[in-house]
Amino acid sequence: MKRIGAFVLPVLLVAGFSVFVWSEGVRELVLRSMFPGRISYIYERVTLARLLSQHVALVAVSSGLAAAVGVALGVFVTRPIGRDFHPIVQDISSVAQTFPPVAVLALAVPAIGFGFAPSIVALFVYSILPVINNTISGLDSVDPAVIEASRGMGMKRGQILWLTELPLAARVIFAGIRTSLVINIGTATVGAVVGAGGLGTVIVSGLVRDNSAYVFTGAATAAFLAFGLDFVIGRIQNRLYDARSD
Amino acid sequence: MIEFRNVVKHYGGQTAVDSVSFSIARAEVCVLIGPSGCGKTTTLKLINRMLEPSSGEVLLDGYPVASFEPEELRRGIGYVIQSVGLFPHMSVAENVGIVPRLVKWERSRRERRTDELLDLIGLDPAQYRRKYPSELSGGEAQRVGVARALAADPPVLLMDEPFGAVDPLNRETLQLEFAALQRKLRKTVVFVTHDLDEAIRLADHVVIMREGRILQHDQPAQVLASPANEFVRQFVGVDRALKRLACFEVGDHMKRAETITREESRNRLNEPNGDGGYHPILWVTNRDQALVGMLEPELNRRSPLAYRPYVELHPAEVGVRPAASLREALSRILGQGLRAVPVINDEGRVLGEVRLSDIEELNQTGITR
Repeated sequence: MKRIGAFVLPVLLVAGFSVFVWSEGVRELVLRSMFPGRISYIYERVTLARLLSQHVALVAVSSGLAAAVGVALGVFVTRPIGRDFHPIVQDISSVAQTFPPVAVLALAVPAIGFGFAPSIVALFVYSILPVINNTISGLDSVDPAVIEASRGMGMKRGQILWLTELPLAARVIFAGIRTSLVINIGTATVGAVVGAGGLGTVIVSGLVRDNSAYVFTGAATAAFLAFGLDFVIGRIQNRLYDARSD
Repeated sequence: MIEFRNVVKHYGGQTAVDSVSFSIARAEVCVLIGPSGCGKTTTLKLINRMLEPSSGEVLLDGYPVASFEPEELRRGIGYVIQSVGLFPHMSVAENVGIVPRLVKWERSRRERRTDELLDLIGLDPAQYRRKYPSELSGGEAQRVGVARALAADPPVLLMDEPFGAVDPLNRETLQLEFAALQRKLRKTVVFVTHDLDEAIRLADHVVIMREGRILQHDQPAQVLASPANEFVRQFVGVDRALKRLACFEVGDHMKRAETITREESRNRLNEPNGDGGYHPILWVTNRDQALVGMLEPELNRRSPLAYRPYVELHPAEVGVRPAASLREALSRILGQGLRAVPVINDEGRVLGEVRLSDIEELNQTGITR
């Protein structure tokens, strides 16, 4: 019973969400009941599905880069050759997160111009911290005795990293990527300000025209995307680690 | 097999190993022992190049270890680590199979070898293969650690306080198991411990170290009998005579025992005896020649020799096995208040006896004051 519930509920939610995004009739019905009045309920200039796909693209590219570069940097500064950079990298990425994303955009636009690219830069800079931080703390928390054992068994440096350190740190690293992804889905709405598209477009438009239905449309879709992705990653994580009761 | 030549190891201004030279023969268990910080673990790690000497060299089979690639060298030397060091993210089978995997054995050969080793250390492969280290007891984890070290069948085994983290009762079991395993496998073992009893139980030779130097390198019985200096004397303790008895096996020191049947024993209560020599205890056996009781001579009355009334005995309480140590025999002798205890086999048959007088004699001939 519990298993069926755990399966059926997400399917129902996803189905409802899809209908909300793709069927303008249904969406108008829902929004009309929530915000009665004489306003426009459907954003006319771009379809919601298109905004959603732009949003996903923004998040996928920026988070993908952040994950790849973040893990690589985290690994680098925990190796003997990169040890010296350990504090600098950590400081810089901490400072990066104290900038508001809008400020990063404002700085990026003169350098890169309007559109997709500056948003990617802003999101990348903003979301790399949890990845770096978790990679470093995940790798640092591996029991030195286990690394000593790896050496003693005759593993080379690369083998110690791939066979011992990364698998043992994977859970913490994954958690960092998950956090960065969820943060990014919310933050990506800011990209609309510089014309990157995405769900922020309809929110900004709603704010400008004082249209709560638009604001709700963008916010709810982004929120659902965040919840959904978090849920999926959580399931993958459990699948990877539950078998191992450690 | 392994030879240290004037090996020195400096450690941040300290000298951890100070000009050490000694050698370890093939198939022997050499135990490095001493107080913490004496350099015993450092000495061990110089063998598989976990550490490099500051000067001097270590030879393995006549070749300097420095002439091997460190990783290749380590894959050919079994290593059991202080805190077990099992890989928590790998199953028991993956842990045991790690060195075969590194030296690229085929999967099927790896799996066969893993099962074989789990059998060898007394863990049912079907039950344990898929478990993770967190699901094992301390003793089981330690056995898996030993199996992992043996996986690629290396001729040399390095063991760094392998049983240190296990409770005393389990530790003794593990030690006895390891001793039995070693009789079968005949590896060259270098074993680090700070537990003297463990050293006595397992060692063919002990190396006693202090402040990076070797104070004495000898057989355990010899070290206990004649400590090289005041430090060793204190280290082995005031009860060294007792500890030394643990180095001797009952089987090598038993004498012929007098046995009689229960029927005969009824006629032996009073018996004229001419010579004033040793009056043995008469061990009474049943029809299957298993020990059931004894007649103990009355020592106060010289002649005629008299025996005290028949006493029933429980073989398990009184008898010792041939493989037991003289220390255990002595403890039985004192516990039972007898002058000798019978040596019995698994069926309870009397093979011989161990006499208090022999133990005393052995003690006096070996020990120096």
